[in-house]
Amino acid sequence: MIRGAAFAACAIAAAFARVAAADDVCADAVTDPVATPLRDARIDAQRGACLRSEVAAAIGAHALIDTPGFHGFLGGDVTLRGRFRLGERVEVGALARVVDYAFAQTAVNKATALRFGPLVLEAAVAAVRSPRAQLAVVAALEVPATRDDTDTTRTGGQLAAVFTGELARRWTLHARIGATGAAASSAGGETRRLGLRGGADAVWRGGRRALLVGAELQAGWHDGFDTTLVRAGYVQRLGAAWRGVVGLGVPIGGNDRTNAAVDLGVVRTL
Amino acid sequence: MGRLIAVAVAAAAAGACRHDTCLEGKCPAPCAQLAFTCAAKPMYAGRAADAPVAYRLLHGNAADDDTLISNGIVTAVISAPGNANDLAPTGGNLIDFGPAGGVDDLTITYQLSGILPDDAFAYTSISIEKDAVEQGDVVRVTVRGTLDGRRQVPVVTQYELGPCDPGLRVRSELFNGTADTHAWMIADTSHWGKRRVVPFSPARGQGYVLPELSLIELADLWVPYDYASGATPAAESGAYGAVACDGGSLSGVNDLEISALGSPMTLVEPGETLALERFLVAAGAGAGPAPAIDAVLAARAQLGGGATSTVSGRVVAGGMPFGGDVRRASIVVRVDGRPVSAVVPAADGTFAATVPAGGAAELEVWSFGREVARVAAGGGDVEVPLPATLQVSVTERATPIYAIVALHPADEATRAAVTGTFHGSGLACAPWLGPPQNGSPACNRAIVDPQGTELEVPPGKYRVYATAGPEHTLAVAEVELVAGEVTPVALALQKLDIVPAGWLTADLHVHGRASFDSGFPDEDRVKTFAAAGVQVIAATDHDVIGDYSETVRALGLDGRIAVMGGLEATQLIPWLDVPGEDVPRVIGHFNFWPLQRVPGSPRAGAPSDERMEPGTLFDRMAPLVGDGGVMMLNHPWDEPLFGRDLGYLRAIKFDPRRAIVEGDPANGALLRRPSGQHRNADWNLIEILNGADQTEMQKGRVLWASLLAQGFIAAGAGNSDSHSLSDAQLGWARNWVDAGTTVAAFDARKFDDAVRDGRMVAGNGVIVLVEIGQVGGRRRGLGLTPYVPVAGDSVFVTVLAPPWVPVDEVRLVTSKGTEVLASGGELMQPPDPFGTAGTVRYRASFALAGKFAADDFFFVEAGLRYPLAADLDDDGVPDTTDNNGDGVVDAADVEPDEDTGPIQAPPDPTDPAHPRFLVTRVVPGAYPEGFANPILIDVDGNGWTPPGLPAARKRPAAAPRGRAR
Repeated sequence: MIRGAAFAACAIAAAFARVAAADDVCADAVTDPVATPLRDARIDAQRGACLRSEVAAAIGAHALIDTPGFHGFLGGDVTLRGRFRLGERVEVGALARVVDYAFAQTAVNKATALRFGPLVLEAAVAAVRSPRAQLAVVAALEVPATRDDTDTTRTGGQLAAVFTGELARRWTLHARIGATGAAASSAGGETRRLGLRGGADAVWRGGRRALLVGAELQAGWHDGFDTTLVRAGYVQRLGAAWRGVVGLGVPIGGNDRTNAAVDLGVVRTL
Repeated sequence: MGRLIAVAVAAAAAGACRHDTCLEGKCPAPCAQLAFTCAAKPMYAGRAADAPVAYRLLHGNAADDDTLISNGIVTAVISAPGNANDLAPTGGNLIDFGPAGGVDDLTITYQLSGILPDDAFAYTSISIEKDAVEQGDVVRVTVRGTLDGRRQVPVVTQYELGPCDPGLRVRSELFNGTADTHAWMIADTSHWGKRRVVPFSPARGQGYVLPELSLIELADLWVPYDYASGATPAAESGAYGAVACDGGSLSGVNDLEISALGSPMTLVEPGETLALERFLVAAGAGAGPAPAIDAVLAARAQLGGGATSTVSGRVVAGGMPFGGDVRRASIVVRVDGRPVSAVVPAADGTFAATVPAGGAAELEVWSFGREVARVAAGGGDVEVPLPATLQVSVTERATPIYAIVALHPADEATRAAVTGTFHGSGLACAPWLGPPQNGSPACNRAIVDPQGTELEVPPGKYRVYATAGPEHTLAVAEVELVAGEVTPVALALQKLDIVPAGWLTADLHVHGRASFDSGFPDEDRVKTFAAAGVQVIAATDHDVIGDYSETVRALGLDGRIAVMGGLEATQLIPWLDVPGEDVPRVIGHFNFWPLQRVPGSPRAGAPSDERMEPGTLFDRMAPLVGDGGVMMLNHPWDEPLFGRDLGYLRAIKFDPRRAIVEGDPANGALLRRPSGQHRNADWNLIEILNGADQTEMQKGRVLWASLLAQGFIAAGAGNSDSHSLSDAQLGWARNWVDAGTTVAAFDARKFDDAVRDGRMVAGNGVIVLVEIGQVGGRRRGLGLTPYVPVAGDSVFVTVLAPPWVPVDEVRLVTSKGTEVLASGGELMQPPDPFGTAGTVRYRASFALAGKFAADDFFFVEAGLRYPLAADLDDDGVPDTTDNNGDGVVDAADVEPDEDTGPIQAPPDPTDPAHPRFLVTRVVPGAYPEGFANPILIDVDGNGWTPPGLPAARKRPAAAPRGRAR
């Protein structure tokens, strides 16, 4: 965790140090990081520091298959997302989970659920801006009681500092550090989770496509070290305003037993 | 999106007004819509020991400190949190339930969220609202805890009983405080144990015919039921019922072993609460499930579950009222083809049952195991065939005795006409004289009292066989029974001189009604001791100390039968990590005696035996059985049942070809001292024969020989493990013990000393006597003190069996293997299987010189040649017999969906000329074998040294397969 943060800090410093008259690092959205969220309602979805106006639709999937622990949790969801720049420094947005299918297995018990909601509000403020690097503070908040399950009230969100900078020609660095939290309350009690996370992705851009590799360290959500999330992504420009996005996250080690998270989406720049 | 916003607004409103919840301390009244009226009696809620006698239950499990609640209509006992019973990890569960003052047939009803051990509700506290009792108002008992070992999942159950309630209102809650999403349910799990309460499911195609329960397929079998019910098919027993308090359904499974009913399997996310409210009913006595169904349907009607109607009528036979017993008449009521209730007519033949209204009701009438009528419910008489009556008596030297009679059809027409079942399920019997697992008569057999016994039997031609055990002759009579007529038959048995003078016959593994898996009444159980000719019994009920002393005295048998209090420690909660196994195991079963019953204590004084290795169990039991006590490893290689291991050596994957050494992943476990004192291998008796067939012996002898060869010396025993009159015959197998005591002046210490020292032989009809010494000189009998041979010593073997029990092989077993001493024509055959002559089948000796070059052990077996078997899974123990009869044991002999097995005796023969024909008439499945306990040969007199495993059989320790947990 500390090593990761140090690495990211060095990279950020290097990027700001290399600031020179050049193209804007945020000019091409194809280099934005793909999302491979592990947490419910995508409250931990990764993003870059560049502010955008765009709409997106994504299909996400996750798998937890813990055979020795007799536990499995598989799911997929469809989300719609919109983000809009308000001036140079502010972006607001919202994410709505249109449908969420989940399958859980505990030993021989099996259960499925098909649900919709919640609504997640997002905001980002560009804190430091230069042509080759940008630092933003981003926040996401699940609006309570916006799921179809009215017996349980949930909320969650994240607060993070995110950095995007040019590492070299064709190479972009995204780094983030922050916290993710969630709370749920029902008749029998309430539960709260808080996790810290920090990570970085390197994106290589080649013409109309971009490739991403990265890693993220997470701790606290599962009472201790959660995982090292190894990430990979591919972005393909589909015409002037559209791009397709594929992401894969594989948690390694730690208490988080999720095997993989996959994200597949299309984005249209407005 | 509009809908999303609408839901958001509604949810916000809902979230603003939090529900009352038991977990948060304010429990909403369960089943608040239900209301009942009556002339209320005083309520009771408090210690079970202080409860009014009229409110207590017969045959209950309550300890003094458990909580009893009663309104004078129903009585329930909730165990104290520290008093764990049966499958539950803690107390706080419903352990007794029945009509006030009536019979309890419940072992336990506990709550779970899944099948894993940590899915069980583990309660740590109990609270009782006593103020309400004084006000004659509702009483509430609330138990709180967590899922077992999961602190982040709090659970609670509240039991509520109103003054006029015919049952318990129950609410359970579970909160998922973990970070994971789970598939859980809340279900009341009732452990019936296969031989007691028979569930009745109101589902099309079910009723008493229940789908086979497979834990692996539980999710597919977990289906909704409008209500559920069950009853023990015994005249004194009540019925149980359950219905959901929302007027909907209870989801789950119904099986003879277990019923689990509650919520659907539900995806429970972090922060979610699961709740279940239901109404549990206990009602009636001897009328089948109907009284409970009447109550749950009345409740369901109040809960909006639909109107009801009543069907009624009368059963007659030969123009006379006919009822009062499930054997005579038992009726399943169907509405539009769906079984909805089941009722046993009263003695006057009348019956009434509540059913859901609106459909066409039909009566399916069964009598003596056969469906004899199917008529539209109309309130009139239903005629069933009149049975015949058999008056049977058995004598020995003109003195009436206890005996067992078994009826067999004498012709195929009779067989076709009288083969029956309990409403189409369970064991088929010809004739079906009663439910196989309940009191006499059961299946096709009955206990005959000295004063004679009358049996109602479907008309036909029968052979009536009488037996009083292998120390007696067998008698048979052929009768033709005519409907409505009484036919007397008197059978005479003679004592056979096959047991050495002064030896006692003993069955050291016996179950009765106190066991969770037995519905056999104590009186009948004790009569079978006498009828089988067994003199010493170790009462070994599952997880409860019993001794039958009251019943033995009441029947005047205390001078003829000595019963030692005992226990079969039966671990039920899987926990043991075994290398190479994905799922946790249990350690199997161990018998302990003598033990003193402690009335008022949990499990009558039996200590908890869950989640411990055998060594710890021995440490715990040793002070209770005392220095002279017996700790027996039961059926060491028996197959798991319902996911629970029955045999310790099989559970730990003991390999008899490998040395027992530290570091061996399986065998090394035997050396472990988990609590510092006893090793896991420190039993002092091992059960080699279990039941009337050879299967356990065919496996157990391999294990025993391996243990003996490595110096793990323990005597071997043979027992019946009988739970009823039809599952295993008491005394088959049995032990003959050179005890040096008598029944009249029974000295348990002397008897047990002889047992532990191996001064006994065991068999299911075959007695093997062995002596060692000089021809015409001094000889020594059995015993585990090593024998130092002198020149000229021989081993003298005598094999005895009643003339109706076949013997065709005598074998000598040493560490080097098995040698056939005699077979076939080399053995003597009795001239008349019904006579008294020819009980000695083999008498010979062999010189010791040349047999043993070094220290060794030997034991002698005799009986039928073992069925062809093989070890298909290469674990050192035979597992599969030639089940398709092609002369080869291979994959074609294995049951579908299994890797190996079964290993079993051939089917009972139907040819009267077959050697096993007669013995299997009175002991179904019998495959006679017997053995004498080992003699240790200390060749050079310098102390006995274990011979070790033969080099050819030795196997290196294998690395565990699969993933370690």
